[in-house]
Amino acid sequence: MNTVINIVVQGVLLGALYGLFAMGQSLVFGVMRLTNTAHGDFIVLLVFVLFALTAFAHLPLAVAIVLLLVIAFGAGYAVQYAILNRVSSRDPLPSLIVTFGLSIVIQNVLQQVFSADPRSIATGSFEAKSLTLAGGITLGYLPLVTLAAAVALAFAMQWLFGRTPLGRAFRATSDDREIVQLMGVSYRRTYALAMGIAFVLIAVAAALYSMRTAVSPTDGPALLLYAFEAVIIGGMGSFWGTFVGGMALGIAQQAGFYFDPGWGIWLGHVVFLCVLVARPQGLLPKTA
Amino acid sequence: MSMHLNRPASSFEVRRATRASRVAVAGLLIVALAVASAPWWAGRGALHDFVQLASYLVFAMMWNLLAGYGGMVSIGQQAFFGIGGYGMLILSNYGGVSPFVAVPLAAVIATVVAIPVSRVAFRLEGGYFAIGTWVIAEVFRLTVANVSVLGGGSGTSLTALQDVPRALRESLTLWLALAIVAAAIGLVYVFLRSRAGLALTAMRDNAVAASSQGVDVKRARLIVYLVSACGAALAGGLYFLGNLRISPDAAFSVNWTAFGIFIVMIGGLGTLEGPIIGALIFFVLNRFLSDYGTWYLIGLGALAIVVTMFFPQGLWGFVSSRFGLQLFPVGRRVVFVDAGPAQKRTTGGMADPLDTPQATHRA
Amino acid sequence: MSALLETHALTAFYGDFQALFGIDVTVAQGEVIALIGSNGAGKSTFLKSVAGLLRSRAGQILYRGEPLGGTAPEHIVGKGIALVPEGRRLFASLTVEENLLLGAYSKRPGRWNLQTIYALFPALRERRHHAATALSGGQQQMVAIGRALMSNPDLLMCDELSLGLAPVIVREIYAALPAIVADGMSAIVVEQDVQLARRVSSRFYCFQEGRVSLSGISADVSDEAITQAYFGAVA
Repeated sequence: MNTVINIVVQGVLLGALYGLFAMGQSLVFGVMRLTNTAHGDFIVLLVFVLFALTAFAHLPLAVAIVLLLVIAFGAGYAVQYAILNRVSSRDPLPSLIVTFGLSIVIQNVLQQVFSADPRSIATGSFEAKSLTLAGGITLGYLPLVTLAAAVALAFAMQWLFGRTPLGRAFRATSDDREIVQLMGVSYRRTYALAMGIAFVLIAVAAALYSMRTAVSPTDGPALLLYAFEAVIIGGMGSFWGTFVGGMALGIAQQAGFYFDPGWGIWLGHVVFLCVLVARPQGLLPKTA
Repeated sequence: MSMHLNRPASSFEVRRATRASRVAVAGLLIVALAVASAPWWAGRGALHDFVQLASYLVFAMMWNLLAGYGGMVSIGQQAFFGIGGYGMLILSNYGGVSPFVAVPLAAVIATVVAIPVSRVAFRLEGGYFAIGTWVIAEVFRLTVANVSVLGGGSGTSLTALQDVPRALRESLTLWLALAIVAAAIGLVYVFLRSRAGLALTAMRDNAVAASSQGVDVKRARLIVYLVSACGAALAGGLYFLGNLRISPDAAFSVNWTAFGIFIVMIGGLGTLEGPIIGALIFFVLNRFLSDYGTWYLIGLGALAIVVTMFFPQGLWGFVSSRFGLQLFPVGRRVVFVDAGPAQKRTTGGMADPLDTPQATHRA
Repeated sequence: MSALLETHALTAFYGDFQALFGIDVTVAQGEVIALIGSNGAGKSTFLKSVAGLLRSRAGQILYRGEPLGGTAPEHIVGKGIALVPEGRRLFASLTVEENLLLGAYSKRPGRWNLQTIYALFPALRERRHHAATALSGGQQQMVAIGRALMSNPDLLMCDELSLGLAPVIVREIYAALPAIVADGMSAIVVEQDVQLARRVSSRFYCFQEGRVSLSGISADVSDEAITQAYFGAVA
């Protein structure tokens, strides 16, 4: 029984990270129907930016993270405005090709600059600290911080979308980008803003991810798939749904890992496919 | 272009072929003959190259069929490519079937597998369909990688042809490749010229309108998906027959799809000659530039971005519509036969490239 | 009366297809004009051009004497022009109140706010937190009008308010028009119902195949003249 609880607990902690990966994608798909196949690669890119800030520029971690968030917003805004706005239309193919191209470019530029070796961010002894509960279940500090961040950001995003003028503008642009212009909302700027915010979410995820694991330039595609699966399992259109979807995926993977390391990721994929068949709207879909 | 209702309508005919297309078809036949005779004049390397090129070509044509005519962009067609490869290997090594027969057999298996896969994948649409198919391909990859009998992660070799003399094996492989390419081109060509092909084009351009005209959209999509899976599996079986060695990473790699995308970018979506030209260019580029490793890939990626942003119809699509070229006569041009030269323009201008995937197809 | 809006030889294209062939329309301060014509005549196209949803050349549209053509659509509402689009086009993910609030995004000052809109259309107050598209057709039209009014425009453009609505509902909606334009707001009303259009406007233009076929004072023109202009009988 303890094993099951442990699997669930570790799954939730892992899932919080996946939820963070996925929230950015949920936002982007929600506002501009953009399928960004470079999503995972942007996470990896931001990891390496953080690495450069700490290892090369020798900035203290806290400063580096704040700077990372600012850089991330700017980068997201710029990428959307300059490149992706041109291909954000009803037809999914151009955005798929462009983001695929971005994925290849990012992976190879990173390999060229940093070599293919995995890197991680040193946090002193923080990453090793944990607390132990009754029954021998350990909760690492870092995963707990990740969970707290995921919850906080889910709240924040839900609030932003549901209660602020900007959130209204986001939802309206997603509904009808032609007519929203009549209200004075530029859909091009709105898309860029959404991508900027998504990049900030990704940056938080990247920072926490790199403190926990060593990341290599080619890790992007795997992260994309986890993010995507979390969004679908949880149900599109809701940040809490994405959060829950991440948990479900994390638990599925942990269960798989328990049986055999080779089957961990596999079980995650299979659970995703089962949810897709049995309940395509996801676990917590937004009721329209 | 205004219509003057007072003039009687000019008589017109629907023409299929252009002069350029007649030349191209003739050229293709000559090339086919040359290739068929290759075992007598070409070196080993060239024979192997042709088999590889054939696999690339068939895979690209099938990806193009799915995306350009089925309107379904898939990042997971490598699933069927791998099933074709592993299917061929299993039937040959363990089933005692001749590998040359195993290739089409494996394609049949892949087509059957594609039926339940489509039930799952079709739950999603658009961009999410694309990523969903990738997940499915990953499931296949991980499953095979965990089966140690098949060599696990490092793969295994095709042993069934060990006793066959090398020259004979290579010749037979080449002819099989040629047969598969011919069959694929022929199939797609006939299909596109037929009413089914017209229905598909209508469906791709506007599914709602098409279904109101009686086109069974669901069934048409399923058929295209199955045909595309079958073709991808043929390509896969052929590729690993030529390679003699298979591994999960090679068989189910997303690079196959990346490559299909590249073809589309060069060749434009939905033309028949597009994938052929694109595959040739890709093959040549790969040959000479892959030594430059990451820089080559960065260049390809950047090219994909730039071309998609500025040439939505693909480079060939741009050339083809600029100069009015169409090598394979699958389009239909309305020509007013009794009008002066000024009237011989084709009807309908260029559609806004941002709204339709390509504008070269004149239906 | 000075001209608020003038168009000079306005043209409009959908891709290669030309929809407007040189339209000259004037709207003075404080007047309500009607655009009539059959389907496809170019009335909606005209409104979309003024609203910036279709590209025009700078000199083709003058607003308060300044060229408006070519301005990006998101900058048009800030100048005081609001469009109630054909078919309502409400935002489905937003409630009634959120749709109205979005109308005020440009923050133009004026007498229209949530309270005054609810006073104009009391039915909306009860349903303010319902999904906008869950309302009846007539109520949705009220939301669409309210959404445009929230930007406190000086020129209100209404595209086929009566589309798909029962006659009694249409009357109810047009009954609110005098209250809306009471303080000197100008309006362009596009209507297929010719008699209705003539009743609510002081002047009219009749469109036919992308051209103005007739214009004049709404009260004075004869039914015959309108029929001829509407259907484009050969002169």
